Amino acid sequence: MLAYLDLRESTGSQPNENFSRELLELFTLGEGNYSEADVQAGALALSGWTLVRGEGSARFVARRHDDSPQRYLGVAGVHDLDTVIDAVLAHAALPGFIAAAVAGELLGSDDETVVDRLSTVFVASGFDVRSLVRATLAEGLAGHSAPLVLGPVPWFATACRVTGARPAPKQSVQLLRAAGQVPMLPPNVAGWPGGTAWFGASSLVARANLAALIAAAAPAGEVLAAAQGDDSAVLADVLGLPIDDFADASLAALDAAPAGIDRLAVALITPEFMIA
Amino acid sequence: MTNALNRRQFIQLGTGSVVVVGLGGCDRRTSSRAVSEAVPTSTDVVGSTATAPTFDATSPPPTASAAPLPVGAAFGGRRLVVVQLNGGNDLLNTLPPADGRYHDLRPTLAIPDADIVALAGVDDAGLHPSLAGLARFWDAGRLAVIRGIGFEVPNRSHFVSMDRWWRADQLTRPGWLGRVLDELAEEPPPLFATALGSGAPLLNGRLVQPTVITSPGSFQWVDIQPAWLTAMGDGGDDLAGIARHAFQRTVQAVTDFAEITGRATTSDDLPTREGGATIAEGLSVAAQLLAADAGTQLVVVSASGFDTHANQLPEHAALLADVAAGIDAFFDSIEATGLADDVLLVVTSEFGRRAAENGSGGCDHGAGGLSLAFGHGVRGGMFGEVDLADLLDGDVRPTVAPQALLTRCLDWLGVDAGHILGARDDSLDLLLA
Repeated sequence: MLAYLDLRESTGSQPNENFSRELLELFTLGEGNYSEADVQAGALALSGWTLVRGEGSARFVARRHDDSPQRYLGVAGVHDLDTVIDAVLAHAALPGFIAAAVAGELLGSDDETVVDRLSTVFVASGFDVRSLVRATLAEGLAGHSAPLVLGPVPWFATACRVTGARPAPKQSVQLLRAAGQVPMLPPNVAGWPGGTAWFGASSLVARANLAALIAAAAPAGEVLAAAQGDDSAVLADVLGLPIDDFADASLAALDAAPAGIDRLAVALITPEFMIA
Repeated sequence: MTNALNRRQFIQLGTGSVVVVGLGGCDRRTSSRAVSEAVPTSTDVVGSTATAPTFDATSPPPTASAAPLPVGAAFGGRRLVVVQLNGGNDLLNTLPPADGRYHDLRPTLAIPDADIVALAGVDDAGLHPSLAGLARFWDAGRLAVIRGIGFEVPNRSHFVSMDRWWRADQLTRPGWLGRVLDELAEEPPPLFATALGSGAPLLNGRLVQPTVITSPGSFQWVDIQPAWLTAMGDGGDDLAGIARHAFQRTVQAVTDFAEITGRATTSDDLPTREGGATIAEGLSVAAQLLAADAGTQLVVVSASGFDTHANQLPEHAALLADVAAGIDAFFDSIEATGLADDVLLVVTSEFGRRAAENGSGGCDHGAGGLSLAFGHGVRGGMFGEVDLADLLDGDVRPTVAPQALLTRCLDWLGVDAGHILGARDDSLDLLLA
């Protein structure tokens, strides 16, 4: 963030608002829960933090910092990193914003009652992310989730795990990039849009091509054997799908592909495998 | 009649939610040119949308236009190209004002007077030197410069501002060109609305989605036979059905795109080169698409990098050089294929940048920005105002509403702008009669 959102360039005399804004908009409170004055006050209070070149570590340079007390998110006297964090954590919008983000990502759901419960857990745990994630997964196990389109990376990881394939890293990353998702490299500071955006033409082309790459790298074993055979229910089972068999539409596609690697590639891009 | 029609899928993008309802519409599997008998009348559209349960309370109910727009000869053959400069292009350095305050606000970043490209007949501003190649459009009266464009009450967030532009400031409705797609009598061919680059939510409708090609060199099948995907079929109202439909559209899009650009649909090898998302490359492909017979009429070309918080001078110069080279070559190509009378190209960005430079050799997010419009149908000239003596919280005060530009874009297409945007804004006299 020091580099990506320009915080390292920000000084008390010439504050850079980029990080201060996204801290509130994207990472903690959400738009509508802060003012432009808060963004400016935050930039002053966070000024002076910079990056040690070559080391990637943060360093505070007092002479670059404006320590004057600011009114920030309704709190008086905010002047440095710690008081900024305190003010953000004290804000009423924070727990719900974080809980909704985690629920959306893991459950595919923004169900208000679920988010409220998670938000309560998050607060009670003293903002412990591990507790929040555990509670979110428990909601999922309790059935409080919606179908979720797997993004290229979790889909790729799942496909590699169930097939045992280790496709060439360079080509894999190239195709993941074309599919729109490379770990740690979102398209912008807001992250990946997700959902049906993963059904865009470019993303589907790259994902199909990546499925072929994974299938070609699958070692001999039960998955490849199932793709060689005629029993689609067995293939669904060894791929770890929670269904008895593929839907008719997917069966038609599986039948169209030659048995073996090609059929396995198709199985990996069926809706059954791409949607959790 | 409704019984004869299959259900259409409603896909809400951007909220992450997917809503699927039954609604009279045409069969999405059917080729767009073969379903004239299934074209719903305006009565059907009104009746079915009125009873559709999922237009929730947060969305204004869609009103019916006079009649669904036919696809085959949509827009009277006219095309619209939107070039989107993501990140917030800096108005003041793109169009440096002849104002001492500019040099005071930008002590290290101001473009030196001697480098500014003069625009004939204009004494209060000129062009960034990287845009010298665009002066020919100005001289020909085919360039409109719209300065100070932005929302009256600005939001300095990229995401909010982009969203406001994309959705014409009605954030519960789809993209403003997506609404036009939704009005079409049937689902158009996949390349009818194409985005080149990072994507273009302004083209996202509820019913119809554009084809987004992030990298032309990667838009082909490798060790995949499209016939396998075709066998999956189409249809189905759930998320799986949406995926299948997307695959069918994608197979068609790859086939059409390959034919147009002379690429193969399948390959044995992965592309060795990542396609760069420059404006020039995007516009080069756009010109090919428009000249071809795949029905392309709406294109969005986007590139990022305009968020110049730091090191602005060299970076912005390179970005603008890309824009200028792209537009220059695009119109050469369009003129050569005889389409010049049919194409309007507009350049947009989500906001301008702070009037004063920051301490990092850049400028932070601002308000009033810059749009450009090119084409034979454009009334060349300078629109809007920049007054550095009257800033809004340190930013150029918005003097032209984006709605005014969007109104003219829709007028260009012959689409009812009042219906699509909710209200017309006729304050920008941008098009020749």
